[in-house]
Parts: sequence; C-alpha cells; structure tokens
Amino acid sequence: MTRTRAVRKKRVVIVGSTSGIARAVAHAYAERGVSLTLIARNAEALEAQAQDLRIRHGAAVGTIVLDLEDAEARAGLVELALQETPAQLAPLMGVLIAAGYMTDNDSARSDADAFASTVHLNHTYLAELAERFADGFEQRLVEERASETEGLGAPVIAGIASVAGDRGRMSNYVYGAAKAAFATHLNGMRHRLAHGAGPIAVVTIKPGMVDTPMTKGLVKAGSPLVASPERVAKDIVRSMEYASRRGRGRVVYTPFFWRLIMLIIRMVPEPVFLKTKL
Amino acid sequence: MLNALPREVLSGWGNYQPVECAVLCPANQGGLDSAVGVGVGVGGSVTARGLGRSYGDPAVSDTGVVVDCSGSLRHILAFVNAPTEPGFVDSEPTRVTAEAGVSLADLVEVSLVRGCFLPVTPGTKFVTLGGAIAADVHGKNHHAVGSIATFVESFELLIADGSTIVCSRVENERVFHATLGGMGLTGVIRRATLRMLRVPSAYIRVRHERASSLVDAIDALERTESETTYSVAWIDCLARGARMGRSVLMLGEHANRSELSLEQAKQPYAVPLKRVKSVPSIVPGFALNPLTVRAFNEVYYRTHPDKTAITDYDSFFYPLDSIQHWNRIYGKRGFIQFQALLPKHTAREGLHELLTRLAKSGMGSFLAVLKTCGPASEGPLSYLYPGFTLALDLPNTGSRLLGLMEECNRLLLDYEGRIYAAKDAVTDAATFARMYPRLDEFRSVKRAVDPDTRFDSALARRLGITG
Repeated sequence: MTRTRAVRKKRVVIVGSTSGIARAVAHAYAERGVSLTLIARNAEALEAQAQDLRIRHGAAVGTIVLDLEDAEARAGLVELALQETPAQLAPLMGVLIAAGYMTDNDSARSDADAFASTVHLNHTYLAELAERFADGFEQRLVEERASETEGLGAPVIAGIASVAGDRGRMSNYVYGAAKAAFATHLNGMRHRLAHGAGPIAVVTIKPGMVDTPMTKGLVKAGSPLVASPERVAKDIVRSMEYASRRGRGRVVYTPFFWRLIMLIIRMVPEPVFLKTKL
Repeated sequence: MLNALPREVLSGWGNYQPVECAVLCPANQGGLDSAVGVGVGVGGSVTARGLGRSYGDPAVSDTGVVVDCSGSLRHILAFVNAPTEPGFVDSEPTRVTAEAGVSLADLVEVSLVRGCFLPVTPGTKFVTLGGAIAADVHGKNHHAVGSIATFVESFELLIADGSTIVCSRVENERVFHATLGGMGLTGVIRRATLRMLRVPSAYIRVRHERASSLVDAIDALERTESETTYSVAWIDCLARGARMGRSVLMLGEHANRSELSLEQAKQPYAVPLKRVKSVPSIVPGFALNPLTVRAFNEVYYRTHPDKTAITDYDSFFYPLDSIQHWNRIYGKRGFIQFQALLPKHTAREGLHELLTRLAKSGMGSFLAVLKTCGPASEGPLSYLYPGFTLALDLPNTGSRLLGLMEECNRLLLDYEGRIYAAKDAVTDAATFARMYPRLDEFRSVKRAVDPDTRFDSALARRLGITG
C-alpha cells in the first residue's frame, strides 16, 4: 500500500504525537514514506493514531506510551526510541518534541497544580528530553555507527515553542514564559552542539495562532492570522529536513509572517504596550 | 456556566438562520466523554456535530452544548479483507472500522487504493460517517440496495448515562435501528463498522438520456430501474406547460477495466486530482434569480444529449464537491433544501402538483434531482421507502419561502409523502408527526436510552421529536 518510498528509509520520533500540530506532522511524514515512533500518554488515542497512519499511508508506525510526569519513564525513553525493533526498523533521523499544555492564564498563575503543569509540560520535561536525545545522538556519533545512518543527514532535535514566548502579555504569560524558557533552552543547545562531536541540528519552532483542539475558542478559525495544523506541519517537516541536510537548525516561525509580527510586538515601547489589553 | 464555553455561530449547509452555540471540540475519545459530561452538566443537553453538511438545524442548539466530532475523532481503525491485500477471501465481506468523525472523502481515499468504494454515498463526500448514519443517507443506488443502513454492521454509541453500548442487528437492535436516521438523538456514535463495496475501477460508465416531460422522466426512471446500479434525473424545476419536468437522466455503472482508456487502465483506482474552485464570500443574494437559473437550465438541457461516456467517480457522485463553499452562491440569507418523498401509488400525480406549484413560484434552483427509491430501512425515522424523491434548493426569501413550503408540505400530506429531516429547516411538529407515523416508536427507544433528553437539537425541538 506504500505510495511513496523515501530513497533511504528513515524514522522520526514525535513526543506528544496526539496534539493537533503533531498529528498533522505525523501525517506529513507518513505520506513521505518516513517511519514513525509516536509517543503519547493516552494509550487508546495513540493506538488509534498509529492504526490510522498505517491504513491511510501504509506507514511503519511504532508507539510508546509515556506519561511525561513519570521521571523514570522520561529517563528510559531515549534508549527505547533509538532502539531498532521490528516496529521501528529504520534508523532515527530526528525527534520532534511537540507536547504542550495550555490552560487559561488565571488558573495557571493561581492554582499550584496548573502552574506546575504549565511550566513542566511546556518547558522542563521537554528540555530534559531534548538533552537526552542530544546525548543519545552524540553517543551514536561517537560509536560511529555510521553505516547505519549513512545518507540520513544530521540528526535533528526540533521542539515546538510558541510566539507567546516572545513577549509576556497579560492574557497568556505563564504559558508564554514556559515556552520562552524552552525556546531559549533549545537555542542554547544549538549553540553548544555547534561545537560538539558532530553535526546535530536543533530547530526551535514558534507557531503563531493555530486552529487545534487545544486552542478551541481561543483563536478564531477562519481569520487570516490563524493557520491550519496542516500548514504549520508542512513548515515543520520542511525545516527539519533542511536542518538535517545542512547539519544545523535555526529558529523557525510558522507561518513565516509571525517573525515580522513578533518583531514589531517586541519593539513596542513598554509604556505603550501596558496600555494595550493583548 | 454555558457562557464560559467557547462560542461560535453555526448553521447548517444552507446558512439558514445561524445560531450562536457553545461548542466543544474533543481531542480524543476520552475528551468526548468529558465533553458530553460537560454538556449534560452545564448545558442540560448535547448536540453532536460533524462537518455541518445537513442543510437545516440538526447540528445546532442554542440551549445546550454542541460537540464537534469532525476535528479529531476521525481515525480509521481497521480495513479488513481488502482485495489488494494478501489473504483476501472473496466470499468474506470487506469492512472498514473508523471513528465517527471521519469524512466519507477520507474513506473513499483509503478504499479506492484497496479496490473498494462506499456501498452507498450521498451527493457530497464531505459528510462524516457518524452523520451519514444519523441521517441514514441514501445515494443514486437506493432503488437497488436501500440506504447506508444496509451496510452498517455495528457501531459504538455513547449514551446519556455515560456508558458506551455496542449496537448491531443482534445487539441492542432497537437502538441500532433508531440511531439509523435518528438525527443524533439516541447518543453520540464513537466508532462504526461499514461493509464496503468492491469495485473494478474508480470510473463510472454514464449514460445520459433526455426526457422531455415529467411523465417521460418517471417512466424512464422506472423502466431502467431493474438493470441500473445508479440512476438519477436532473430536473428542470422552472419549465412549465408541456415541458414541465423535463429532465436529463444519468444512469451509471462501475466501469470495468476493459472500458477504460489506456491511460486510465494503467492505474484504474487512481483519479487525477482536480483543481478545487471556491466561491468567494461576497456573492450578492440576487446572483441567482429566475432569469439566470432559467438560462442555466436551458443550456444544461440542450448540452446534454443522449450519450454514453466514462467518467471518474468524483465527477459522477460529487459534482459540486469541486466547488468549495458553493452554498455561498445563495448569499447571506442562505437557502434551504426541500426534499420530498412520495410513495409509488401517488407519485405521478403528487409530483405533478408539486412541480406545478414550484414552477409557478419561480424559486426553484438549478440543483433539482428526481430519483426512484427502493426498500425502506428499519429505522423508525429512516427516510426513504419505495417511491420517488424530488430534491431542490430554494433561496431564503423569508415569508415567501415559508408560504411556499407550507403549501408544499400540505401537498405532501395529501399525497402521503414526507420531508427529509437532514434537509429540512422549516417543517413544524404537527406536520412532521403526520409524515412519520413511527415517531412514537422512536420516542420510546429514546426514552429507554435517554430518559432525561440529554441529546437534543434545534431540529429535534422544532419537529417535536423531543420536548
């Protein structure tokens, strides 16, 4: 049933694969004949997603059920994901860390649990996983299992941050701060790995407003500023492939015009910004 | 509390009387439980919504929570015994199991590459599987195989007490039949299993045959019924006098590989992608008026002489799907679709009366079809039974439209006919009750699974199915 075969079989790991954007990314990769290892907390939803990708695209899809709150599971994840098993035959080309958590700002700042979830599920756990994947990829480079990964390009670590992290604003700053921290972490990793043992590309992805279940009621579907998950997924796949070829990642705004919008928003002088109700 | 939920102005495909609704969009099956729980808890009632292609108000509600199932609950879970797969057994059915929010377009896509097609399809592929079951949809082959109910093997239904029951012809069969055509009022369908049709190619051999009057069209549809898989007639609803009811019959068969061109035969299940056109959102309401429609009908009739051709499934089954937002051509006020069913013994006279009335009004659009209907399915609210059905779009002209509809419904009652809930937007409860004599049977099933009317909709209240 495979319609397109990539020249060289490769595999991508998606952490938080059942989120709106990640679902679209999984489809885009499966359509290109890339194998997938999907990681999410909800076993039933995860299996449904994997089956769906197999039937629609004939893709090879493995799954790992993971609760990000579980420290032990986080620690063991990279080894599981890098392993080549019957379900994940192709060597790993990259990982997309797409998990995220959003609740309204008032709960996030006043409720201790909601605050912790917002910080951990948008920053600390994700940054931790990014580091572990970097270690795993570095180790693979050191062991020079080059024959396995030849022609794959550089391994890629991509993380989904947000334009909400570019400037704190009254309506969404707890989430924004966590995403900003994650973005900064990824940027720092990119810097560190540029001086590392071999090319590992780190991509910081900053989506603008996207129409997903997570943002239902928060963004206005149909507005020209609101992108579909498919549109954003296309940008993510393209930037990950590009980073892999080039051996280095960068900061990607998606859709691209958000780079300009955020540039302007960051430049608004504080006294003026405080008068707005963004 | 209801006000704390995301709100959205929703309507049916006809854009007729939009309603501001509280909307939840569950991300997975667990989310569906919560959404229904929230709906029951804060809103009092729940209305399931798919792709919003029913014309009127079955998927909107101003008093409860609308649960949008088309966003994320659309995984295809199994495709069993496909002809293209190893281990295929010819004597066993081919089945697909999917979450109810999946679109028929998606099912067509995964089916064709496996040598299969939908066993029954409505005139658009942009409906969900759940919606197709809830409306017990029919297609151009109804005279031969009945509605989609014939091919639905089972489904899982989330009911009012929060539990999920499996419904089929052997398990919870009363709920099964009531849900087919039940307009979402028995619960929310989570997943369903459908028996698929194996086809020789993605192409259809179409024969066009002109009929110069209503009587001719009816005769031709009846004459061709027994040997034709798909049949439908485009009918000119504005022609009057001797030409009233003039039609172009379209008779279709799945094309065998030997009938395809060399190019087509290379990939018999792949159809070249068509460019999708879109209607801008600013079409003025007067773009469609009796003059333009009359001109269109004249051209259409004259350019469709009798002939046979091979066409792809998309052009045959879904001619309007290639024009995105075609509903916008009716402008801001929207439109309704009037679909009438008349039993065999009154159809000739009844259709004549209806068409006379509609032609006189001058409101009929270029989208009018006439079709013969076959065996009824068992659902108490299922629509079709043996007879003829006429469907046409009517622009919203306010009280003029309502007056016309009242007259048409009265005619329908006189001739023992009925309207189709999935298309209707204007019929009242008393009329509906007379059209659907098994309504009480439906209500008793509903009482059993939903005693407190947790599943409700604007349509259900208007037609008096609930409340």
